[in-house]
Amino acid sequence: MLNRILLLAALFAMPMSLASAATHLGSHGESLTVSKVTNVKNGEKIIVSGARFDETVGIYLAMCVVVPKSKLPTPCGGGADKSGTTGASYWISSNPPDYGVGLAKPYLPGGRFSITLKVSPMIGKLDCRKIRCAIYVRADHTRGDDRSYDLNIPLQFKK
Amino acid sequence: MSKVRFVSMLAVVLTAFSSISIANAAPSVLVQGGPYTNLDPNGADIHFGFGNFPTAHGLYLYEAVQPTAGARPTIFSTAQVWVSNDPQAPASPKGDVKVKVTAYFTGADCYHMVCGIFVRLDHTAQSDTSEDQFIPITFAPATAAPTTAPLPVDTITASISGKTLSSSAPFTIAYQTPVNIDVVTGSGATPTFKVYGDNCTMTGSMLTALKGSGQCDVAVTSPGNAMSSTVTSHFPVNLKVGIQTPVPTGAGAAIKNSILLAQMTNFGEKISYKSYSTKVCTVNANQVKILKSGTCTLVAKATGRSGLFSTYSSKITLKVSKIK
Repeated sequence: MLNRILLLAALFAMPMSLASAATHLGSHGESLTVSKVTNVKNGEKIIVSGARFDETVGIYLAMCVVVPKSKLPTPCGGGADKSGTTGASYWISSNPPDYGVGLAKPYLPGGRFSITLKVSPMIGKLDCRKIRCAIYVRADHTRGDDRSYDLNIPLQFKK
Repeated sequence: MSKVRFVSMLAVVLTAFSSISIANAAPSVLVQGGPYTNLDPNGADIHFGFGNFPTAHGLYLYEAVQPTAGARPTIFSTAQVWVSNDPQAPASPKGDVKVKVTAYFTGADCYHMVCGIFVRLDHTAQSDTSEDQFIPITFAPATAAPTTAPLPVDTITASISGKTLSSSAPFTIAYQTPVNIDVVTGSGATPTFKVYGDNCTMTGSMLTALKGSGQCDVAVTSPGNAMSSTVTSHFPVNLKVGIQTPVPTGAGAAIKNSILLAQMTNFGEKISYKSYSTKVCTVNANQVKILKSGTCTLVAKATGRSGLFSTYSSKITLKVSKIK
């Protein structure tokens, strides 16, 4: 029994994937977590989760080239993924415009989400093994100029 | 054209495009529009612009029979226009706002009653009458009676859990606690729903608050049928903070001499536990370890979030009768 408890204790004590997870806090109290940020392989699926986001503000989630703060993150892999099928970017919104109903993924209560993102080191012709890229969230197009919701966690791909 | 006739025409034009405020002594918003006279009885658009538009609220504009001084109309058209800087609003105060009027609407005959446009603050300031205004309008002489009598407007009765909703008294819902709005239309037609304001979301007839304070507005529309015309009713909604409860997923799972309790609340907040009987039980994260028989007293807590949900706090008592 002691062994079982010790095992459980070890499991509980282990932070989310000791491998290379990272969490960043945003200016509105929200937090963004990426399950793996180093030695990421081409086509690898990583889990991007958020908590305490403002549920009245829709966001886009994608991998983008790192840009200076206050600049619109672009280019991004997969674009806005308006079809919602590429798995490269996501639209999260609990109150999207009519045309976004069924396409945008609503927040969970508490402003949470968890997305599995399939990432590639290439954004168009740009190679994220040579330039800095990151998992970004930003306010969606209904607040396209609002940079206060931008939040990113850099990714380092396996070379 | 004689000078007298020209002055007479100018007076008509000035009347048609002037600002008029009657019901309230000093509304601060300046409502300018026209034409207000010689309107087509079968349907005419009145165009409006605004000065000193409220910064914190929007306005509703609708055709109504003139109310008694200081009161709000009791006979009014349901073709209400919501004007607001809220991006969800169908009309912006910066644009050309049109209100469609007719000489006849439910209970009203504007050839024998004083009709006009009633202006008031929107659902975000439901009981504030400071901006109430009534702007009289008149219609062109009826050259011929309408060929067909206007259809009676359909009726909408909305309720939540059996409690009837009111267009004038807001109902209250809690953050992330969905409610279903049941609607019965007089025509039997299937209603449609739309929610105005970022603070709420609507899926079908299910309304959910995304904030724990503020307001939103639910519009219910019946398309009517051959016997009744379309109608939209608005129901103001107030929001209050939600109640946190533990999510039982995985909780209660028994490990030898241990119990796993809920890790999170329904709003995603981590629950912390503290043992107040450490000789009987200890707690690590959400795992309670039983040490011996007796009463295990724990206190569970989760932080609240201002404007969304309240703090969770609960005392848990476990009776341990036998330990293996």
